[in-house]
Amino acid sequence: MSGLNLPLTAMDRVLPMHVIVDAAGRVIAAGPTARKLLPQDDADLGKLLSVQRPVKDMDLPQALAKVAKSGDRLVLRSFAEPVLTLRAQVAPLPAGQYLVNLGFGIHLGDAVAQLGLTANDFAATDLAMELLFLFEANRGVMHELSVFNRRLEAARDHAEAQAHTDVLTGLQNRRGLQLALDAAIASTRGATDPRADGGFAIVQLDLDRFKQINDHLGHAAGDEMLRHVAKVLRREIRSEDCAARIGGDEFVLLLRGFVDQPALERLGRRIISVIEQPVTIEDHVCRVSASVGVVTSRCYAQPDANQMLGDADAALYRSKHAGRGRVSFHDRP
Amino acid sequence: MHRLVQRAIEEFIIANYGSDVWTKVAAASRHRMTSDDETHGQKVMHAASGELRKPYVEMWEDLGAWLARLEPMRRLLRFSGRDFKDFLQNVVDLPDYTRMVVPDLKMPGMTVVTEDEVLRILVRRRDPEWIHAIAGVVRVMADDYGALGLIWVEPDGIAVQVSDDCFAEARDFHLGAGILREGLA
Repeated sequence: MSGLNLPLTAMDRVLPMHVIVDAAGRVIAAGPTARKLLPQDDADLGKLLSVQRPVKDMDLPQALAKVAKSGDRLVLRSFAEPVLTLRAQVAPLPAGQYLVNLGFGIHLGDAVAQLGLTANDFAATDLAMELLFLFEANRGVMHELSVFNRRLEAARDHAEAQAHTDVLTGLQNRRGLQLALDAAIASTRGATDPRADGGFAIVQLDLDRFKQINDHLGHAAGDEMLRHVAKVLRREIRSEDCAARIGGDEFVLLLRGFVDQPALERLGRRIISVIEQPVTIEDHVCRVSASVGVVTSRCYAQPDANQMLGDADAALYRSKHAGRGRVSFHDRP
Repeated sequence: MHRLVQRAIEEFIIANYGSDVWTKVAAASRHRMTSDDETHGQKVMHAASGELRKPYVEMWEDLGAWLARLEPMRRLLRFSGRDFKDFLQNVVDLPDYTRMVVPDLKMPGMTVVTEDEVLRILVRRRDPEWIHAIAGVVRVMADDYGALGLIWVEPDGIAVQVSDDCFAEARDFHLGAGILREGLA
């Protein structure tokens, strides 16, 4: 039989994680990195490491003999802290000895951290450094990309909110109202009878004498008045409600779960009386009023957005014709 | 230019000069986060160079130096070598390492030639941006390894004259430190 007779120094350099044991599993020699795992010289490997594979808790000498013959991997775990899982390739040597080459496998990171290993502990052919590099680099890149994605999401949310927002007042615009209205209608659809509990109200509001401010004080003052009215509306509604400006001085409130006619009438009157209070804009005391038309989803077997807005508008015009500053309701058809 | 490069440029400007400068630079270069423009990074850096009255290539060198000082980046760079000379020899592997993690970041290939006492990192595409950014990285890593080196930029790469390999104490580098923080999962 031809073979190599390797000096141990060569073994140490090429296989720094090798251990040579006798048939009983006692350590005869060990490479420099393996020695960091095996504190005592001439230790009994079976007292330091338990066998996980080929068969859990098999006696080490028995396991060595088995895998030396089959070529299967040996999996070991340290008894003492830190608990390390090791894999090993075992080859039989003359005189009943074994060459056991250890490796960390996927537990490399733990082992490096716990044993304080450095690049010098690995052979040049070992991919340990590349694996550690990949792990850290990958984590860094994933983090950066997740930051990037979060910011893209924020930018998209912002753009979407802007698309639904009236720039002048910060209220919803017609599109925002449409979406809120669709959602409100969809939620009534689940109920067996849309006229039963729940439902919602649409309050349409139009300013009276607003044109005079625009004509006499200019558009900047008019804009200021619109922002003031928006503030009043936002204050009078709940956070789950929706306030929108859908045209020059036309506003719409969408009130979820609010269909009680006397309560709606009180709300409408209160909003009108607040809007009627004089406001100073550019040193001018300005007075406007508002007319209100109200419709509730209870008036319809199957509420439809356009029909409801049309009916609210009709109720609003009845308020206007009846002398402004009033609240009118759309009656059941 | 790759998103990660764009992010690095943005973070670099904000970290070193503040978000007001970044706002001006972004406006001047019509910065968009999602730009697919290959030369977008250059445009942003030109705008920054104008705003800060700093030579354009110096901006890239400062970017490289700033990056190398970030702890996670410093660690990745330290994987490249046991000492500064080893690091310089292994710089040629950086594009391959990078490709393993960010396949679409097109880092130019490099070769290292040593002549007398001078080691030259030749950057294949001769992009001044890459050359200066790498020069910034090399300067910081010389410090990190505690090596005293004379470093200068040439048209086709970076030249390093290492006069004393162990001039100062190298900064700590524990291989396992990056794992301990979160575990190898």
